[in-house]
Amino acid sequence: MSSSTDDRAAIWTLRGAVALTCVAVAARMLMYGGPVLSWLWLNVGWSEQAALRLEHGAAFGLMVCAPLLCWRKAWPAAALVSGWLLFATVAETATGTWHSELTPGALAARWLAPVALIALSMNKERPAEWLLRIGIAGTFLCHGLEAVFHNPQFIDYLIRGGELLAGTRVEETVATTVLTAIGVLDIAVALAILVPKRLRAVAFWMALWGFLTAAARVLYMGWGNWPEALMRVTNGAVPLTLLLLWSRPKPAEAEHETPE
Amino acid sequence: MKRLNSHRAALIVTAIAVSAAVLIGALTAPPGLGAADRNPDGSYVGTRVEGTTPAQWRLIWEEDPAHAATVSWTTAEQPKKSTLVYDSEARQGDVTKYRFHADATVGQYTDDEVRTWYNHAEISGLKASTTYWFVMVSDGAASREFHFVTGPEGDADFKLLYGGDSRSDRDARRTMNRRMRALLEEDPEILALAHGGDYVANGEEMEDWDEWLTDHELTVTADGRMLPVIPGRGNHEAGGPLYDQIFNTPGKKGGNFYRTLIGEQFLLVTLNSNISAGGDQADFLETILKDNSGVRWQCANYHRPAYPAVKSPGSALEHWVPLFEKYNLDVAFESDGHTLKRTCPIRAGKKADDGVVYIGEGGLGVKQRTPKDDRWYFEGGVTASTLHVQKLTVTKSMLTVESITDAGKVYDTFETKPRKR
Ligand SMILES: [Fe+2]
Repeated sequence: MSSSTDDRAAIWTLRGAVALTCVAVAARMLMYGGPVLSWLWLNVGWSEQAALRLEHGAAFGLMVCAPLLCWRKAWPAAALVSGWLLFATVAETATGTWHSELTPGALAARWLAPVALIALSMNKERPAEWLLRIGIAGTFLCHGLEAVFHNPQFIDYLIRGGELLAGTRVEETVATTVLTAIGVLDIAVALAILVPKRLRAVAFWMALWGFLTAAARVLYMGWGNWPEALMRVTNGAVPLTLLLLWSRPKPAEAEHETPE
Repeated sequence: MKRLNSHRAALIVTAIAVSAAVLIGALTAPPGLGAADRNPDGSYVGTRVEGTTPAQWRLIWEEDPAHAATVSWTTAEQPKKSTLVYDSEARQGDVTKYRFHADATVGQYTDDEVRTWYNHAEISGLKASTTYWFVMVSDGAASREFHFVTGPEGDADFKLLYGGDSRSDRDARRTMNRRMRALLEEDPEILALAHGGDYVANGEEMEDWDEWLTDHELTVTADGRMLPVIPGRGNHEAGGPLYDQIFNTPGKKGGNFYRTLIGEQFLLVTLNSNISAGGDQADFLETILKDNSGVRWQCANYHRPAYPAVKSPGSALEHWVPLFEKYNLDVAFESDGHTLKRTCPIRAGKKADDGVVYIGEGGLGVKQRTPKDDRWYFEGGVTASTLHVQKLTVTKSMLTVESITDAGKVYDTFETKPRKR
């Protein structure tokens, strides 16, 4: 495969993922209201109407940004998307209740993906690669910690998964033990992706697991829950972008690479 | 130069497109209702927490309200001895005259700044449907005389309050506490309040609980009748040890789910939506509903809704709703949304005459949201953005749930007859 083809595949993967994130985040805000509404209204003291107007405006803005992301020069659209996603992350941290200190890290792949997209659009591949590595490392590390702390939602995913996929009732104690193992593995791959080597197997696993856990939201509660799944598409797409970027050896780096 | 111009053009197009979209979105946002009514009277300061004077009292019901209860209070200093003296006759606060007494367990609330102490006196062996008069005593410092009525035995008629979300708006919380006191004063058949959780904004801060506990004193009637609380745990007090220290660990530690039988024909299952819904808790729910299938009225209380009026559904939808439907639950009480709702009867994700009805969403002291009344399950149901509390009237032939606003107006009435199980 030629290097330009891989680059194109990588940038389009990331573009697609960020665009889908925009649509999902917008849909979620319009359907259920987002964390910014809760934060501005209940914590900051805005009127409900003003906070609603801001979220609706942002939802429409995100939906316009989605197609604009396909245009290489429209990087301000990606900057706006990242800005909003970061703002929403801060609001979620402020209003969240279960280990909310982990939220900025857990959502790092989401809000850093558009920044990496800007870097890739400007042919700054090295910074883009590190933004992607840091983003997905944050997401896996914090989700891993949540798993080790036994996030009850994750326990229910495992129990429901057992019923749907294997037709068996998974006991809570078993689900909890499995969750601890998953958490440890998540933390291990989060650290591994930060090693300054192109560990393709690690990126491959993260992409697979990222997509699978995003899809679990639909498996768990049906297709009506699509925004929840799509909002997490970067959890798989960011490591997939890394994998595509790493699919061609760079002359200068190829020498130092360990064979897999 | 050409490159610069094309970038500038891109910038302008992006800015115009995004700004136009944001403006359209903002202008087409549905109308919100703004802040809820505020109570102008913010003068209540409650009993001062100082020395070992009992303050911040509450009475907790758990599994067997006909025969057992916990009376809890706060002291600023650690008492050497805390005792509850009680009797089935009024003794006008003369602590030497009460026939019974129970020593309280004393411990310090876990907090860096508020260094006060909890006192829990567990009493049991009580007579059903009986008024008990009591005084809290810590190292000689005594409270005034209070009283409460124990739960009934047998097939009895009675009334109960339900409400959730008393966090974040102290004026509104005080208004609703005064409303509950007024309801209790005008209708002595009301026995207790089942709370759906989110008492405070941050359940790991004693400062927040301090205010809630002080405001809770407002639910006591003028003649000293205390309203027992059947507590459910919300997401705002999901973590930390304070919830158990406030309510004497209702249900098991780490679980906080349990069943309450009021009389022999009313079952209330309190669930915890902050822990796994599908694991041990689903097993517990199934066992309780199966074992009590002969009980006429069956209700559940938990925080995060299966059929929300504002937000997205919680795990209850996947793990508890099928059991509610299998065992024909009458009403599921839900909180968290900060709005008033009653759904149509629901079975298998559809409107059905023999379905389960979901009522509540939390209006005991938090700004009320605008409900999303276009959701399918509100066809034939009710939504409103108003502070509220539900009053349940339990008789042999009918279960009635009235939703009462902060102004005391009955906004909605739901009635259901006994169903076959
Ligand atoms: Fe809540």
